[in-house]
Amino acid sequence: MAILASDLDALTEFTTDPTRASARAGLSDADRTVLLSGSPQQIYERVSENDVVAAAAAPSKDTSR
Amino acid sequence: MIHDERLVVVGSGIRTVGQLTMEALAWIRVADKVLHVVADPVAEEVVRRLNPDGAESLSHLYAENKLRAETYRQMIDTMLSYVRAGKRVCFVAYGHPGVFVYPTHEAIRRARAEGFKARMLPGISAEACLLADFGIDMLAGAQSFEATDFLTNHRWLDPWSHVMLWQIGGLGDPTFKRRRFDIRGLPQLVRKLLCWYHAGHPAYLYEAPLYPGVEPSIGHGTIAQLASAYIPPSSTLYIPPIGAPRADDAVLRELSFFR
Repeated sequence: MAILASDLDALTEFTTDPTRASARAGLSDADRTVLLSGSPQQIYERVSENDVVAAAAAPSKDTSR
Repeated sequence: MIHDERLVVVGSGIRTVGQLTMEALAWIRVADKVLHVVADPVAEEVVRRLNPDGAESLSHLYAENKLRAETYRQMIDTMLSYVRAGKRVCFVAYGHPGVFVYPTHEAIRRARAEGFKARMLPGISAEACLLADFGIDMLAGAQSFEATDFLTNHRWLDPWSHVMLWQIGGLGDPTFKRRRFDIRGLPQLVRKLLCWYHAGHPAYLYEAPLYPGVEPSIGHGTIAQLASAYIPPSSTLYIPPIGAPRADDAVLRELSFFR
């Protein structure tokens, strides 16, 4: 999500198709489920562990331009 | 154009993903020192990624039951110490950096008094989120008060306008709490609101979404029910108008709106 907050291309892709974008980000099924759950509590708990943030860094390099 | 600011204050928005402005991102990147109090792991990570050498969280200055005024004083001192040391400082606050953020205003004032160029950049505030989520058009008029300020001062409401009371989750508590504030004064607040509203008038407790894909939290009740309601720490009280405003016929005649 740190990438989504600072990379317009990544955010555009996520806005268009969040499922596809999070899959391209290399997130695990569990992390993807949390990210797309719409549950603020679940998302907060997961991002507080920092793993999702780290994993989300990978996709920015192969995000569609 | 020369950007020679020594202190720039920016906001991370309420939902960092999508609400962190381009100019805020740029200042975070170019600053020598980025001090931040954002209370959001995503925003913290953004700051660290954009400026790994300069990022420093000041969240540790908060402590359980510590007076927030003392924490604010320490934040101001920290900002100014780096400015005086010749650093270009960016301070990142949650939401809009000028909305209920005393240390940013005071740090800018003092920096300017000492001859340093300082400025604040606008951010997306909780009020901006509330207006969007409720579909409020400011044409009807709106009043915003910090809840404790409203309760403890002689304030006057226009019930024909939209009314927002901020930080009601911390009503009457001047200290910091990690989980839940020691709210004091809800019955008194309701009593004051009943000067303008009937007991059954609707009231909403609103929390803006922090993450993409998350809906806002909106609790619905009445003014009277507020006295015993659970108030989430980061909630805002929104009270819709009691009706359309009454026309001032005398002024309308004077302006020749009536033929």
